[in-house]
Amino acid sequence: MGNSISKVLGKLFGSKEMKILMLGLDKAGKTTILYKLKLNKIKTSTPTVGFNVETVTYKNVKFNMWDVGGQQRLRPLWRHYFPATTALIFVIDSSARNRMEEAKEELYSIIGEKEMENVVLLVWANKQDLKDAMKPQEVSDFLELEKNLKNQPWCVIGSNALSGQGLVEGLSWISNNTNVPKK
Amino acid sequence: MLRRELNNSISNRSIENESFPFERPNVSYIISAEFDNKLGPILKHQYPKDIPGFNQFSHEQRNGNTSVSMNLASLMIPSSIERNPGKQDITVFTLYYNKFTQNYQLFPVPKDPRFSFNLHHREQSDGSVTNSIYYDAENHQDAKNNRYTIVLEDDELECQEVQNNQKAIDNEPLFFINVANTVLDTTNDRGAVIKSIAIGTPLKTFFAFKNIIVLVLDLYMKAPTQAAATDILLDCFNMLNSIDLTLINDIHSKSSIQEVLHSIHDESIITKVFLDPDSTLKKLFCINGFDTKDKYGNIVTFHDQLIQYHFTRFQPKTLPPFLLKIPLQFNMIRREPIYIENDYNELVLKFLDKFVPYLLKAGQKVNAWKLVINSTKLSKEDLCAFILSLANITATYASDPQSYFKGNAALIFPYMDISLVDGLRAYVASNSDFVGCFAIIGTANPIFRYQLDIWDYYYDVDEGVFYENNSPEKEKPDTVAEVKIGPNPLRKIFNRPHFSTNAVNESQVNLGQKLFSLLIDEYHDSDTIMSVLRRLNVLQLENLLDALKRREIPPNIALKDEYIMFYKDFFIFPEFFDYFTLHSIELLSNLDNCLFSLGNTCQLFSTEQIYSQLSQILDIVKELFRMVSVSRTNIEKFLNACLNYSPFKILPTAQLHGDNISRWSFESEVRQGFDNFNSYMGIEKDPHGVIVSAIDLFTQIYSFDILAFFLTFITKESGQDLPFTKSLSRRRTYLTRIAQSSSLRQFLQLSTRPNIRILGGNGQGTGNSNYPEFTNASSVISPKLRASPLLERRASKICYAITKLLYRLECHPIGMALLKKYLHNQLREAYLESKRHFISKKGDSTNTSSTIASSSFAGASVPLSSNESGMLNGLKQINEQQESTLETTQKED
Repeated sequence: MGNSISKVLGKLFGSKEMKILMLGLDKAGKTTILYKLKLNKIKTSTPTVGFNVETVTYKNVKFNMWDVGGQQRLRPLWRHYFPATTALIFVIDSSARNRMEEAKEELYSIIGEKEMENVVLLVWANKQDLKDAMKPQEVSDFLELEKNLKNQPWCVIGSNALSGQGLVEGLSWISNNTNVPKK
Repeated sequence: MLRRELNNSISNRSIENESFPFERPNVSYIISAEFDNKLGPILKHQYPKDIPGFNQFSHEQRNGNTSVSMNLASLMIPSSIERNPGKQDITVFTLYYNKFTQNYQLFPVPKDPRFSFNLHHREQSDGSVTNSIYYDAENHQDAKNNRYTIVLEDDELECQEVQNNQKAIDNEPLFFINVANTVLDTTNDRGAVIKSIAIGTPLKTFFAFKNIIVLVLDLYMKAPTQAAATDILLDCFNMLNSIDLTLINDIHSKSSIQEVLHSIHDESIITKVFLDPDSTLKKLFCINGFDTKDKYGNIVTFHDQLIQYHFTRFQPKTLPPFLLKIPLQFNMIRREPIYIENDYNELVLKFLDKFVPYLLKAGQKVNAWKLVINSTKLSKEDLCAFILSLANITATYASDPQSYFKGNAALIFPYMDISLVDGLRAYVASNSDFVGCFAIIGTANPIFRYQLDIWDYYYDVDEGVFYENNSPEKEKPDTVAEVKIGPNPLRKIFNRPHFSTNAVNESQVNLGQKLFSLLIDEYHDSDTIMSVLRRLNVLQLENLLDALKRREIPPNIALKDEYIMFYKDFFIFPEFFDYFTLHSIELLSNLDNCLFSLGNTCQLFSTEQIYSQLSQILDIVKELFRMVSVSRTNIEKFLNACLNYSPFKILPTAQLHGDNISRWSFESEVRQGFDNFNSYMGIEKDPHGVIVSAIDLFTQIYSFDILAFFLTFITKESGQDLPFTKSLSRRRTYLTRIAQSSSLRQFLQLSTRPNIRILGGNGQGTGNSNYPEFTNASSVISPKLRASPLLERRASKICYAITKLLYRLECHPIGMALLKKYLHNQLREAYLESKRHFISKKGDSTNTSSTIASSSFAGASVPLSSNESGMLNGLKQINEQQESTLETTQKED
């Protein structure tokens, strides 16, 4: 009986913990986003060799965020990070119209994997501060998510890593759209 | 682009013909990598040619979904290198040669099933040795001791295929030491440039090149053009190969002397041994004719145990002159299979303290395990060094001939990138048909924790947490070594409770864990830590040998494998598992026990029983003498056994604790054992009252005292006392009076009375009234010997044999230093007196003064024969030399 009460209380007042996998092409802004969330600072920009992992806590939810390098030869390694993923964040450079097709191919390659079939998908249409950036709706239309993802929760949110625009909104969406048991 | 590549290719070929020596080069390859902003890690240069199997242009060979060249580049551009711009980091990896594909590869070549079960025993190579007891370690083979020398047939095939140095070089694994760095660069669209260079060498002392390649990388990254950068690499390659390292390689290859040296942890002995470079090379390492220059004319200098090679002949084309002032420095003592610059034993201890319980808990499960060790806080250099430190105490890395368990070497991967996971899976699968794959893998990527199919244990160094993979399919039963535990009190230490599948609990504690905890808590230095581990290995090995002798079922696996199965301590020192060393330990133990039994005041022996004991002691000493007389190597192996042997009496009362070793206090037991042992041996306590820790007591060296102990039982013939032995004579006179007293006669008759106390040889009470058997043995034994002319003659023979044995050891430069250091005063005096006595008695030569023992290395120049008459002649020659030395000294004075 004591254990049961403890479990109930845990579910009421405990915290969620999620493994968040943040992927995208090189130079999309993944690392900048990660450290804006973690430190609220703009980290000096250098390419990510391998990965970064940080824990971001927001509204009693612990997000273990994995940021993996997006260079061409590193993409085949993304699959090693799939196990136990709760949510996928795919970061797109909204200003790089010439790379949008490449980004789309990589995204569908990821969500086509069996291990990623049931994860929630958040697309950050990043660099909204740039002049020629595609709007979130444009990105969504280009990616054809509504057409292709019938059974998988997804959302496209505009973001600006430098100012932090859209970042907290994205985490809130993930938190509200996942059913991770509380600890 | 194609033209540039062709030009580079032509240029490389012509340079290769000019500079790549046929002889074994120090460095076989120098390669570079960089991080391409679009592609990721890529190989940039390979010189003098593409590494077979890692050609980056002709074929994009793939291992899984990634190319092999990318795998290599990923090891060279490690994860997180961009986080600390301007701060270099080091990674280490190995390339293994596959003779079937004639390529190098990142994982050891899997065993060919055709050879797996075709075990055989090599024939004894030296037919002149007719008795296996007198095994000559230099031959390393003995058909009668197959449990210690099982080899695979493919080893012979591989050996036969080696036709010259070039093939040997090609077949050897290559050790790569890689240095990487990030430099901020505003002209780069990603804000930084990330590059690395690595050298591949067959030498296990590859860390010696670290300082140079660190500086070269700095120059390489600052090079204004690609051509200039390439020239820097070429110059570095040629520079490192302009030194002839034959001397240090020869020194390191002398395994028996190296084993003794790395068992010595007293700096004063090391300093003495390495005092004179000429003497060191000639007498210690048996290397003659070396000048102060290598064969290329470069200057070589010596400082204590360090040897430095200076680049005095190389003429750089692009490298700055200051680089030539950095010498290559090596320690003549090869303390580990892989040399590691710094001390990582604190990390090792913490690891052992946490991991060993899991091994114990595994119980009857499979013995093979795969261990992943992760740290994101340690630098890559520290991580690699930590993994190599673990590899060093499992004695299995790359070309080490020893296997860790049942013929399977462990895979050691100091730093692994996630790109190699598929390759690791393939490697593990290729070994799945055998007993299993041992692996120790270092990584800086926590994602390895989620790859459950590649590890059994996962250690998070940063958090100090171990994870165990509890997949049901891994719980396979395996044969457990069947060991019958006898009543001997020492055996109780190694008794273990029944293991369950529950979490590790307090009862699952072995002696090793006791020691790990103490070593951690007491902050001992690295030398002490290694000394303890070696002593523990020997102590447990001795126990295992005794248990196996009583075993009814004949052994069917190698002794080392049996040891690993039984103790599961993780670490092992294979030098103790060769037959000669095992037999030496056995004889030391038997001698120890015989002496203890002889001096046991709880027992009254008849003259016949004492004679039997004396005969056993004589046989042991004679056998030891014959063994060490076979070769210099045997002396060295025996000295190593002596340095790591723990007297039985140090831990005699463990039986009182039964199986509750978790509550057993190592500290109090060792301290009590130490006091008892000193009392028994008649060794005076430190008059300054210095408090010594239990660990330091445990690592005290008493083997030489045990060898010499019997000499104290015999007093010198009356009328021939010398002035410098007055104090000893007085002590013996006192003992004589005690022996003649009526009270002592009563004691001898009523020795079962537990509360009787007697005075020891030093005139003081024993202080251990509860342990009457640890009374000064000399005071008990000497009267017995004099009670019978028969016993007295037997004892005299023993003393003669002991004197010969100690003198044989003293003729070795290290043996001399060890005897001088570790024989306690009373025993040293007894030995010196005995030596003079036998020279005077047998050789009719005049006595010499007390300076006879101070002649450094004098004895080493006179070869001693193994037969008695030859021995006496040798002793005469040594005496004559010492007299000559004394006369010279007097003239100089």
